[in-house]
Amino acid sequence: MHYKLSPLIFVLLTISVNAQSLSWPYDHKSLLKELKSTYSQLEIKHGFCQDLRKREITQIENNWLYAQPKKKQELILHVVSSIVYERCTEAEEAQYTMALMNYTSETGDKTFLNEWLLLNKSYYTKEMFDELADIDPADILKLAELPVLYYPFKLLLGVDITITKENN
Amino acid sequence: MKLKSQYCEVKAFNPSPRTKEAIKEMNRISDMSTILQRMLMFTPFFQIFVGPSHKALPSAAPSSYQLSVQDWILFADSIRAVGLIERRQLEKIAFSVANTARGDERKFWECVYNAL
Repeated sequence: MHYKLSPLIFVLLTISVNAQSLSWPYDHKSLLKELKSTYSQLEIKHGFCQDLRKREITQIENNWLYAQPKKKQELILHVVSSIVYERCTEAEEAQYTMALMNYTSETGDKTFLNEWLLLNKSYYTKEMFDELADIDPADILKLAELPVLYYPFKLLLGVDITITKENN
Repeated sequence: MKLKSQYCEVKAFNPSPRTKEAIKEMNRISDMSTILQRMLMFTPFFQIFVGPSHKALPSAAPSSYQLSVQDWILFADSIRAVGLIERRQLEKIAFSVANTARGDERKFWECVYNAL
């Protein structure tokens, strides 16, 4: 009897040791680890997207943009620049948001959620919304699809970009 | 860093409530006094980001100041200590103030935005 039980005890001991080395994916420690890991991935992606923004845009050919007043052109290009930047970080941001939701809902700790809310504010003012009130969002989205504006770019303030009519 | 005419000339201005609010918001995202601590000794104008209570300087920003491109390069270098995600937010704030500000205040925020 003593010898027959030995393999069973061995199996149980093995399971017990493995259970200690593996962690349940929804325990707080694992959720925090996942949160930090996805944040690091997001930071890396931001680095990549910000490197892309170093390219210089000197000219944009677009009839609709050309027809807008200068002040409005600047704001429109800022919106387009935000859209294409968010497109660049979208996948990693979704992963981080998912990890954040999992962590917050399981732990009840809202520290990271509150930080994330602060890091996601758009900072569009009422004046900016008023300025864009007569603009069809579809026209802005079309601009974000132009090859010259498709990838992240930084609109430098005080540095003119030549906006011309299209050569048809 | 590209700046208009390679020179961001900004004279001292009375910060509007919007500017003060924006700086407060920037400090919620990143502690500007720590980030800009070293350069405050060389460019007191940037005291605007940390307020007169900061102990690095005996007085607040002088009434008249002209910032050189070198000052802005130092600013841009200091701000690199901020994480990329936070820096992106600081940039959004700077644009939002620049968009509605006028005169030297507008110039100041243009230069902050371009340096971020």
